Formats: sequence, structure tokens, C-alpha cells
Amino acid sequence: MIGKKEWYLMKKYLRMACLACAAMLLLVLCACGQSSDQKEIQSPAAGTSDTQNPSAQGEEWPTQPINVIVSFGAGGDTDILCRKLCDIMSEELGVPIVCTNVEGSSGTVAARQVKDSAADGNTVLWHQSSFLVASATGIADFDYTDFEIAGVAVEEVSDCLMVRKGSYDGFEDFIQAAKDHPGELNYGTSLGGYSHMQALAVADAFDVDFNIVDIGGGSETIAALLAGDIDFVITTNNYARTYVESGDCEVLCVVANERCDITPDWPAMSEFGENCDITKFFGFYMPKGTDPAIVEKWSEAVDHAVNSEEYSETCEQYAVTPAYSTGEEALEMHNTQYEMAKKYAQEMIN
Amino acid sequence: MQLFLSSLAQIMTPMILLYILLGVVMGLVFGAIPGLTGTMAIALCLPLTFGMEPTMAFALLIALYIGGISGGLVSAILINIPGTPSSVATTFDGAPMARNGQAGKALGAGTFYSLVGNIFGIAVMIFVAPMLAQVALKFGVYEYTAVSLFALSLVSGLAGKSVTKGLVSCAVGMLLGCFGAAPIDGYARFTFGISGLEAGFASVPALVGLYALKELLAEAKPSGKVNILDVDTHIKGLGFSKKEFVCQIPNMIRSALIGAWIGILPGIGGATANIMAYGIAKKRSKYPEKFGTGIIDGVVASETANNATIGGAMIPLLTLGIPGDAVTAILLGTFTIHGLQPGPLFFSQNYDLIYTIFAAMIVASVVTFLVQLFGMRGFIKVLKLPKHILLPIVIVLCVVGSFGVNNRLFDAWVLIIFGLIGYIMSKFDYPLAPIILGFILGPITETYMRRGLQLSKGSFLPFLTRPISGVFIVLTVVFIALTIISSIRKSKRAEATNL
Repeated sequence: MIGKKEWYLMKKYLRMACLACAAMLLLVLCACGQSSDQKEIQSPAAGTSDTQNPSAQGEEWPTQPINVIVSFGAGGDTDILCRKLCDIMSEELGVPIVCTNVEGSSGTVAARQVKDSAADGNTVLWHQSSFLVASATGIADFDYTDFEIAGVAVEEVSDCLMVRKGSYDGFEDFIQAAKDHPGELNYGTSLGGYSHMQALAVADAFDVDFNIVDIGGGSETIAALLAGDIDFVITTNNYARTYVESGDCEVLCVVANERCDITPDWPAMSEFGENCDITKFFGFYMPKGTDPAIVEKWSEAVDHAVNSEEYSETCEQYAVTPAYSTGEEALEMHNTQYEMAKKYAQEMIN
Repeated sequence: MQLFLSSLAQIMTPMILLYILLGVVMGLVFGAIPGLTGTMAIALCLPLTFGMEPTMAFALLIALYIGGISGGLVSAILINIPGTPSSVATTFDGAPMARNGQAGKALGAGTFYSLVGNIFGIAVMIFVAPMLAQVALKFGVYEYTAVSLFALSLVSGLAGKSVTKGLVSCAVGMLLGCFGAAPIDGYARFTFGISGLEAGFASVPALVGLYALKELLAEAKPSGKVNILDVDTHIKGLGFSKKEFVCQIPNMIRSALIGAWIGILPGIGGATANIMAYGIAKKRSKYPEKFGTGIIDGVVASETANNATIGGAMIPLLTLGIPGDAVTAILLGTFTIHGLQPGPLFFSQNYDLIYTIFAAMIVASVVTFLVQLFGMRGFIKVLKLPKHILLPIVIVLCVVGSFGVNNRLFDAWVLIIFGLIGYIMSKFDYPLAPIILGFILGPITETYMRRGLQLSKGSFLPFLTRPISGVFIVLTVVFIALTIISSIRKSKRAEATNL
């Protein structure tokens, strides 16, 4: 026999258990419904994809929400540029696109996750040039050829070489100082990252030698520069602008072959007699073996989004150029930049 | 002041208050559930804020941030599993208090001192932010190394009965922190060819696992009866007396200062601040032996410090554009989305918005306090649930949360592996707190030390000759020496009494 009190208690526990289950369900729903604007999934199409044969898969795609794995943390430029694109693209493709940040090892963790995903077009990687650097240095034991390139969307050739205000009298003076004190000018970067390669490219072009020090990500290098721990940084244009405006720092050159529209006063590195051929770009990748029809459909959506008014506004803020390429053209670009990364890779590992 | 009041008025619209309330509640839930953190809640809500007015967007995100850090104390006290890494030290005394039937008092104190910590941090941010930011800039790699070393030396205070066992625990923590890509060169360590290990162990599943599984396994031991604690769920006010409040004032101020300062230093964060504050409170206490048995001091130190980090972490973000932790890094991105340029000019160019943020932070702190105060009676009923029903639910939530850290199953395994480590270690009486300290601070110390050595081209001298760094190194040495001397004295005294 169950006494009245026990019965009451049991009912109470049951109620609590139910509540807990409801809370869990809510959580799971939260995790699934992470997309920026949830749309209704067309119910007739959903769930039929696995019964179709593979060739028809491409024509029907997309039938379910697409998961985009972002290779860097939430809120950074890599993340925001991607979310903005996906917002526009989900309207065109008619399914929600869910952006998920997977951080670690310069994006290698994210890349591996997508590489090992099913090649059904429902998992897409958003990555940037540091992928090439990670492959070249061996941090990643695979490279872009293990993926289908599904549209390069953004190019960034506006990074700036920045020093504390008044520490050098222009870029020539800076190079002279580097020549006079070989290996003594401290450069802060995250070793094995993209900006590490940029510094090596500058050193190579002007035949100088820097003391390259690991300081961490973008904002940490600025803190170290302001604190006087390091002598110069190469940072993004939008970041550099604020520190120049505040009078803390000055930009000696834009590490590119042309000046930047948004900062016409800052000289390009090429004006000092040496070219800079490294280009940072951001793009989408799908697992190897994805139906070409799917890759094409996605790439087309990327093309439209990249050329939209809305997107160019976001790009302007970050001083990056919306630039679409895919297929052979994109592969060519990857090959050239990969060669470049390999050239410096040995030096970067040491 | 006028600007502040007008911002406060701006916040007081029903819509924004509703968002703050929603944010706080969601933050509290994420904070209270082990494995889920406020950072996750913010990352989840981030896309929602893209279309909002900036004021509304920041009100929501900040409410989530504050709620998330404050929520951790609930599970730390009631089930001895920290809800977030920031409330690890709350378990040390909060959980024993709950076992002694003082759950209401512990929750009351935790809630109240969270508010104190929040308000202190915010006050520091409002009044001395630009000046402090300049001081924080003086902290370069050498200083970071020295501060991390100093924090590590606090292990002796957390070791419990046997210093040796405490040191072993700390070494285990540091070893576990070495897994994955090495800082600086990215060289893979202890990965055993497992690709999931490339990025090392994520800290949230590791820390939560260490505590959560141990509780479950301890409960699973066949005892033949169901233990239900007899708790008094009627709490009057905050559960502690005026006299206790007065006694805690020095502890409160010290912990708030530690929290705010650790918050300002980008990259060290709340997970360290609460343990540091606890360790120092214990060292400075007249009755250190009572720490860990369930005294209010421990809860006060931990909860004041972890909430004070919030205001601290906002300082470098708002004045220099440099984020101090994962949350402020996301906030930085949100500024950009709303067309605001974070950086050194941010403070002077966006006065209105900054003051709105300040106002939102204060409102969110008060709302958090009220929600927790009124929810306390409900929370405490958790203790009446039999553990064999409660803990499995908690573990499931932990696994879901761990998966959510990076959306990969490997992190759920990390939870279980660390759970087993935690169970075995505590079974053999090795304290868990030093593992956490080693796990968090080991990699930080290594990173900054190696960076320093790169800068100095291999010379250790700058670590001693830079003034701030030198002071901390000396402090560390003195601290260790004092610990050794006092333990020698203690053992001599013990010998004398034995004879």
C-alpha cells in the first residue's frame, strides 16, 4: 500500500521530472533552432532525400536546413562575414542556414569536422586563408584539395603595418631601422597564423630580419604594441583606423599592391619598390565527393549574395572586397596562395 | 551623472526591461545547469540581436552575461557541481553549507554577494575605466607570467590536509592542460593520433565532468536507502545576519578587488578569479582550518570575485577595444554589426551608448538579484529530490551542454574522462581544486612564459627586472616560503604534543 504522503511526494517528483524533461527539450530545440531567421521548412520535400538516388539528390537539394561550420569564434570578422552571407543566401535557397562556430588550431578542428561529414551538401565549411597556412605548416594533415571549393566570397588586401605613433619616420625609416638592427625589431603575431606569413613576406621582400614573437590573436597584438612589448603589427584595416584616429598609432603602409579606397592616404607596400602578392580570402568548402549539381547551386547562391547591396555594406565596414570566384578560377587562386604559404612554411615552423 | 540618469530612463521602457528579464532568466538557467554557460547563451542569442536596435541588443546580451555568471552558484551550492567554471570555488564551502542544512543561507549569501560583486565591478568600470585601462596596458607578457605563477602558488591554500596530495593534484591538472596543440608553435602533444585531441580538452566539460560524475558515482554506491535531506525551505530575508555582514566586509572588498583586477587583465578571466579570491581569503583568515567545512566566507569570496570580473572585463573592451574573455569578444563583434567601431575612441565617440550599457548592466544586476531571491525557495526544493533521480538528469544535461561547447561529441567524452579522473582522485583523497587551478593556469603560464622568452631571446632576466613582474615573483616566493615555514612549525608542534 502506498500511503497518502508517499503518493503526494511521488506526484511531486513526477511533476519535477516532467519539468526537467521539458527544460531539456527546450534546450535541444534552442540548439537546433540557432538560425538567424527561422523559416518554415517545406514539409513535403523534407525527409524524402534519403530515399532518392544520388543523381536526383542534386536537383532536389536543398531539402533541409544547411549547417555551415564557421572556422573561427563568434563575433570575429570571419564569423560576421559568413553570417551576413548566409542570411542572404537562405532567402534564395529557401531553407534555413545555421551557422555554428567550431574553434581551435587556426580552424583545423572545424575543417576536419566538415571533411568527415556526409557529402550531401548539408554541411558546409566557411574558412579563410589561414587554412592554406595550416596545411602548409602541417598543423592540418589535409588541405583544400580534400574538399570541393564551393565559392570564394571575400578578398582582403587591406591589412596595415602599424607602429606606435612617432616611433618611425615613415616606412623607409622603419626598413632602415630593421636593416641596422637585424633580428631586433619585435613583431607580434600568432605563430603559424596568416599574419605570421605576412611578416615573413615583408621581411623577404625588403631583405630584413625580424624577431617574430607569439602574442596571440588580433586584439592581443595591439595591446602588446601599445604596451611597448613589440615594435610593430600587421592588422586589419578597420582595426588600424581606430588606433590611428585616436592618435595612439600610425600606419606605415598597407601590405598590398594598391592603396585602399577607404584610407587613400596610406601608401601601399608596392610604392616602396617591392610587390606583395599574398591575398587573404574567405570561402565555402564542401566535403569531397559532393554532387557537382549541389556545389554549383550553392556557388550560385554565393555569387548572388556577394553581389548584393546588403553585403557590400558589411564588407565596407571591414574594408574587405566582395569578390566571387569558383571552379577553376578559385582553384587557381588556392594553388598560387598555397605555393606562397609553402614557401614560408619551413621558416614558420622553426 | 545626468547622462547616466537619462540613460537609465532610456532603459526603463517595458520592451527593454522585458528583454533584460528574459536575458537574465535565460542566463541564470544556462549558468545553473552544469555544462551550459552564459557564453553559450550569448552565442545562441547573438543572431537574434542582429536586427535589433543597438540599445536593445546590448541590454539582452549583457543581461545574459550577468545572469550566466550569477546562475552558477545555484548548482554549486545545492548539488556540489559548479554550474560554470566561474563558480568552482563556490562549491568548496557552499556545498558543505547545504549539507549542514544551511542551503538557504548559502544561496542568500551567494545571491547577495553576486550583486555586490556586480555593482563593484560596474562602479569601477564607470569611474576609473580609462585610467585603469592604461595601467592594465603596463601588463605585458612578463607580468602575465608572474601573475599566473602567483595564482598557481595559491595551490598550497587549496590543498586541504596534505600539501603533497595538493601538489600531486595540481601536477595532474597541469599535465591534462598540456594535451593538444602546444601554445605558440602548435606542436601536437599527447594526441595519440586521436584527432579530437588536437585542440586539447575544452575547459567547460573538463571542469564540470570533474565534479559532476563524482557526485553521481558516489550516490550510485549501493547503500540500500534513499537519502532525502531534511531541509528547512523557509528562509527569512537573505539568511544571514547583520553581524555576519559586518564580519565579511574585509573579505568582500578584497574579493571584489581581486575579481575586478583579474577581469581587467585580458585572457585570465572569471574561472581563475573565484579560486584566487577563495585561496587568498583562506590565507588571510583567522580560522583557515574552517574553510571547506561550510562557512559563509568561502561563498562570499568566490561569488563576489566572479561577478566583479564582469565590470573588469568590460573595461579593456570599452576603452581599448580589447576583449578580456570569450563573452566580451562576442560583444566586440556585436558592436561592429551595429556599425560601431570598437577601439580606443569608442568610449569618447559613443557616450550615449556606453552609458546605456552601464545602465543596462546595473538594471540587469538588480534583476538578477531579485529573480534569484524570489526563486530561492524554488531552487532549494531541489534538495528534496532524491539524488538518484536528480543526478542522472543533471548528468544528461551536462552531456548535452558539453556537446554544445563546440558541437562535437568528443567534448562529451571529455566530460566522462574527467569525471572518472575526478572520481578516482577524490576516492583517494586528492583534492580537486588544485587540478582545476593547474589545468587552467598551467597553459596560461606556459604561453606567457614562452612568449616572454621569445621577446627576451631566451633570457629569464626581464621576468625579475621588470618592476611589476618582479614584485609578483617575489610575492610568489614569499608565499611559498611562508607556507613551508608554517607547515614545518605545525608538524613540530604536533610532534611536541605527541611526545
